[in-house]
Amino acid sequence: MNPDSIFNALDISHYIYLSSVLFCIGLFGVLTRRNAIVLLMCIELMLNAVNLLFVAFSSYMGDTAGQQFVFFIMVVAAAEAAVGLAIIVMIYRNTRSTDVGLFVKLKG
Amino acid sequence: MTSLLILFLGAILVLYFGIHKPEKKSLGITVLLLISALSFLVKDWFAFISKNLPAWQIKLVPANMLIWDSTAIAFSIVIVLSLLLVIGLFSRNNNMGADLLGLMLFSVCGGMLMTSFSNLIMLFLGIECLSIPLYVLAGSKKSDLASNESAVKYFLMGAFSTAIFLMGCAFIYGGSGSIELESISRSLAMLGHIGVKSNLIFAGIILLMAGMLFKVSAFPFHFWSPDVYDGSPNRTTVFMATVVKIAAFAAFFRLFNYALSDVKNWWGMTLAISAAATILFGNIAAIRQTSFKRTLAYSSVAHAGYMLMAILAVPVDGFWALLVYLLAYASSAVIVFYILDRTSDGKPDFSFDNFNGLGKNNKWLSLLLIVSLFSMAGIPLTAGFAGKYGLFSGIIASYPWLLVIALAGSAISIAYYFRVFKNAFFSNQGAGFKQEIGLTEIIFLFLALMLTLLVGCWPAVITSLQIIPA
Repeated sequence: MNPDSIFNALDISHYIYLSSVLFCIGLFGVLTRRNAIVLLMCIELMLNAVNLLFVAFSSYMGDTAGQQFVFFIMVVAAAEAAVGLAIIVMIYRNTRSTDVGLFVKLKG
Repeated sequence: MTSLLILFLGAILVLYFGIHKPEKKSLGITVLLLISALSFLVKDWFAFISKNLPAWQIKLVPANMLIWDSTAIAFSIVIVLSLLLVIGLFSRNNNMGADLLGLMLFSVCGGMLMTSFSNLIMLFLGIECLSIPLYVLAGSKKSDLASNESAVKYFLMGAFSTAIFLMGCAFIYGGSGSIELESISRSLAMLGHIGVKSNLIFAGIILLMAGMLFKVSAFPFHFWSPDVYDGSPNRTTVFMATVVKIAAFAAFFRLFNYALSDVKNWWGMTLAISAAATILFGNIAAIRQTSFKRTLAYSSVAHAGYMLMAILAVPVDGFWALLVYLLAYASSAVIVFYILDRTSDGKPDFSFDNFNGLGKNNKWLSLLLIVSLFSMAGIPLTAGFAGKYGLFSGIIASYPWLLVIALAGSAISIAYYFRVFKNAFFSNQGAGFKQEIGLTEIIFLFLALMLTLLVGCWPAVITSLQIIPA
């Protein structure tokens, strides 16, 4: 069976399911993990699920707007990760830890 | 449109001046930039209502990205005005250098994009352009653990909610075939036709709504905001409470009323329940606080609940009510945060006891405190009352039960606003307020007070500008 026929057999719904599953894995990770770096990775996973879905819809409908959106998401996600990692480094300098479970100073 | 360019190029200029001469020069340039942007915005507004605004300025040509209509101009005016108030009041005592000013200007550019988008890409870019500088601003006290904590919480929650929002955009794109507000609205008008997938659109709207509720800190996604408001330096907290709130609500309003209004029966009830829960939760949690800064944070959650009602009203009424309410909230919040900042005197202690003896030591400042807290509580003759009146009358026909809850919430809110008065006027211990107030601060305090009283006593000053928002 050649690869082309496999891809032809894939419906748009398969892409929707795949990216929804990826998105939910990321979501679950954000809600359960405690390490700030891992949280950042989970958020990136969610963003990549979004990218996959946009590209799938874009190719399915023959419309370029979705792919334009993906470019913007990738660029902004990079900028966001840069700022986020800088913040995590700042925290690490002060507390020697990146565990968000230790942040209990603010509550009430 | 000119004002957006002025602010964006000006922000780069301010950062450049920060390399050579800190403080003074960049502060002067920032204020000059904001005043010129404000005057261009006012000029745009009058050009728009007399239909003299050139067509290329109203709809930005490349792929229909921005729309510079009355909604966009009006909300941008409020955003720029409140940044001007924040910088005028907080720059001297919080040593805001060129870096902080530049970041605030970039953030405001994002806020203006959020008022004027006509494409989901632009909304996304606006949200991120607003948020990314804010993550840095929240953590701008690098050695303060509270500031660090609020920065990392704000960053993680902001990025998380952006991801949810983007998933919503992707589903909307898949369902309606477009990311432009006009085309989305067109395809929602013909649900059931081939090419319009209502299940995808429904999922998209739910995710979009969750993302936007995160951004405006409404129930059930409000939990990050008290911590973030509490831990951030005062200058950032007041920026979040005014500029960010205005921009987020402008975006929420435009997105739901311009693109998704045809399926209001899908999201109206959910939004109404969220608004009711936000009002109740915000107000009840605010009573239990011992720190006034945290009380204000919860009260801003409650105010977000009131503002959600504007999105449920008929678009034209909702627009004016939201505008008046945002103006009222911003001008009084700026004053209250200023007094909070000066009474705490640089220490990270924001308890109610800071206000002890304020009434005896500084009559003028306590008068300001009274007027602005009255405005936040919605007592007549202040701007807050005019705003609440507009919001309440907008939903009275469609959601009467929400009105009851909102009124109960306002009654509860009086309890914690008046608790400050007990400390300020009836408490004898405490040294009270000894710092001097500079001339610029007096001018800006007077400006904020005038806004509060003028809009309160004479709401027609805003509503007489009324035309149907395009």
